[in-house]
Amino acid sequence: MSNEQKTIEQSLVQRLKSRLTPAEISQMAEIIATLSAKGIEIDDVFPYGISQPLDAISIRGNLTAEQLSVLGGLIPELGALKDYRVFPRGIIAPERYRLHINVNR
Amino acid sequence: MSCDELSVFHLHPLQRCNLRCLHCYSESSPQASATLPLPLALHAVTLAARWGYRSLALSGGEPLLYPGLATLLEHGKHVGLSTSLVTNGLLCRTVEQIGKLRHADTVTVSLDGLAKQHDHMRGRVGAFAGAADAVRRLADAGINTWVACSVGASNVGDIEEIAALAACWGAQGIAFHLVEPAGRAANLSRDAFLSGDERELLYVTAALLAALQRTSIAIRVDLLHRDIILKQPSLIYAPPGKPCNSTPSSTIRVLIMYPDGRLIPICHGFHDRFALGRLDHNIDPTRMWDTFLGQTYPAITALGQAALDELRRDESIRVLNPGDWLAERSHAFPSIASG
Repeated sequence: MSNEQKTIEQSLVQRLKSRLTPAEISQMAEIIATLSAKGIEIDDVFPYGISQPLDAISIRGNLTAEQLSVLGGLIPELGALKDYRVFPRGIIAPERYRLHINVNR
Repeated sequence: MSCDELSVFHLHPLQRCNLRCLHCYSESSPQASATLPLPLALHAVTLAARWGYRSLALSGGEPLLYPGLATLLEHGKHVGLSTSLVTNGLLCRTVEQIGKLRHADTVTVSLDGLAKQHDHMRGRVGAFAGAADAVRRLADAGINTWVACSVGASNVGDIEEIAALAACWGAQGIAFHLVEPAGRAANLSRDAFLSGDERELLYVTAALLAALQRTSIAIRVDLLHRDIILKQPSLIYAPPGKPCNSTPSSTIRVLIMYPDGRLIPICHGFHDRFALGRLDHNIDPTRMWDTFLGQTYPAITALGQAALDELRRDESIRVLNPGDWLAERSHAFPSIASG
């Protein structure tokens, strides 16, 4: 295991356990369930704000073109959605899209 | 993927184990003597393949103590099943021992946490080092090796480190499974088990860890979110009535066989009143299945419907293991005779 990898793991636990309340963890779980049911992979979660109360929770993931087509149906199911953005990955992965969701506290 | 493709015949050929773990759901130990005769085990595997099951999963007890292990795995492959087993790893030391596993598609080594926690739960100093060595040896031998880690309140904070260690040892994946108050674990104190909040934390952490670690190790957790079950009640056998396609493997996705020959649906620990029966060479399996489908399966769907109603009523149940959850409720459900 590289030092970089270890740092990422510790920071993930730190972010989840110390920065999110149980209610926010529940919200996260709902979003993960909704997205993962469609096979959408999440690779980053970041709580915005200096300390509690946080301003928003940022969730980033990747979409295929097929998943992009069902995103419109999923968005209404995501509770407390503040905004979301979809970016084409471009030349490096023309068939993939980057998803960025902000959830209000 | 159809239900049949996910179907598993989970065979416990013996209850004997070289360890006596504090949380063992099958209450295995060195003193336990129940053993399925090899001819009956082979007969059961043949039947499972005929019934449409795609995967043979062996556990116990410690499968490496079963005298016919290599024959059983080879027979599973012969009848077209994918084969896997779960071991504590302490008997994966020699070329001869690992050679018994050559017909296993996947070998999973069980863990209960980091070294101190694992050795405490296993009741043996050095058990963690032995499990780690086993993963390395199995991976070095070219066997698809996984780690299964039980998670309770005392080790939920360690899962990232455990996953990272498993990756370093060469495991292809790690599956996290909650310790539930069943078997010997029923004797543990209540605070040994994860609370609802901690279950959600595990669910979220595992999902994110799976994304972060996807290039080094596959990560799974045996938990489903309530929203997914509410959208797909068949996950807990909730639709009433007989299934349209009533082959055994499409009706009961996981079938368990105990060392005494009992066939139990869905999950280890399900109440005996839901059993298909006890298999032996004199039993007509077609008749056993037809009787189960006509008399017992409606009770399973009633159990599933009651569980679904409970899930709709109680919003505090957010993530759960459907099999364990149903098994727990099967003991409180009214008997079939009384409806």
